[in-house]
Amino acid sequence: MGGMTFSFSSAAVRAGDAGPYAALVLEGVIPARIADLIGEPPLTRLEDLSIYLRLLAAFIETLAPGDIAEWTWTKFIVDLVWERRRLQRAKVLLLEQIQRNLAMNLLADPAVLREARLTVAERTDLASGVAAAKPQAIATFQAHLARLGKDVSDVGDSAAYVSIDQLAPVNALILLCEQRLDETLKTLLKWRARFHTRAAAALADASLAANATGEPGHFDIL
Amino acid sequence: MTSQARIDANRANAARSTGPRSAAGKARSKLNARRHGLDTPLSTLPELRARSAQIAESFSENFGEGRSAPAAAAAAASASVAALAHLQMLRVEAQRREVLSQNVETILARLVALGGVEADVAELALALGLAQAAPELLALERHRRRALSRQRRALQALLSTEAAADSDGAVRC
Repeated sequence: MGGMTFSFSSAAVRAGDAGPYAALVLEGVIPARIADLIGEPPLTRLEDLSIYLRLLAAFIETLAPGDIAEWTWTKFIVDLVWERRRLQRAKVLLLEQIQRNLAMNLLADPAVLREARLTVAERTDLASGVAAAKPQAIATFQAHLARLGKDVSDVGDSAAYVSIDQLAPVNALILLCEQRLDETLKTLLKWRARFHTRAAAALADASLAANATGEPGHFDIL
Repeated sequence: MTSQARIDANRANAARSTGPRSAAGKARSKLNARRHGLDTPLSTLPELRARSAQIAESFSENFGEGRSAPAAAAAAASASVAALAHLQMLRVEAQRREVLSQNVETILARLVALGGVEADVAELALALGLAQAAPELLALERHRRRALSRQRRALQALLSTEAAADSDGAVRC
């Protein structure tokens, strides 16, 4: 493979035109022309651009893309890592939400309400505590369930059943992310051995993304 | 089976409707069945020609510089294909972003209407919006897979021109 660097023979694009990548262009992390080519970050309005940019910068530093093909692959890999992170977090939150709803439903049983005399706010707090697996909340919850002649395994079974139904498409998207990353690495292995080595190392290093975003635990839970 | 009376009535009704007559109406109605336009070939979209040419220039600048005329021409041809593939990939990603954003915003509005504070429910809205958008995102995978495969082939073709030019150089030396 020929070692190439990206050429800037045309007029340089000003950093102000680099849109969401302006900060990285100003810092010299991304050439302005590349910022114009690689497409928008894959974010919704509710996601933090600065976290995405830190992740992108960390991968750029490790992968050291040279030509435009390598820049394209770098952006693609980072977007897949971001998407996988988003899906994994969503999966955790959805499971919590399903458990919370289930706990709320069980706590809304007239018998429980009558005996435990829980206010709506107390019920909500208890359901959230159960969903977050707080020991004290679970103990209290189990005590309420015992009064109904149920135990916590009823909750677990029901939650698992519901989660399969709601989470199947999310799980499918997580698998697709993994497949895309594998396919990309295979392509790189064939065409750019050295770039492939750097990309594979970056993807295997969960701490790279975690340190870049300051969110340990969200990039290594597959 | 449809009765003759129903068939006649349908024909009579159809004869009364001749569709839009004005140019604006025709322009609008021809897009009635359009969902996201990702099946439309890029080469038929004049508004994207300039952008495609700009991307192709960047690609060929990177891969065709300092080459012999035939090698540069081959690189330029591959660069045009790569630019179209890249542009299609950007369109698919933009559509995926749009689908996700719409679903997230709908859920967020619902949670806020129920009394939630946007900052507090944002993460949950993202998760629920993602779950809601997931089937549509999966449906878009066909376009994404095709765009990716086209982009991969185009980049490989570009890299092949690079390898060929390198071996030419080795022979000339």
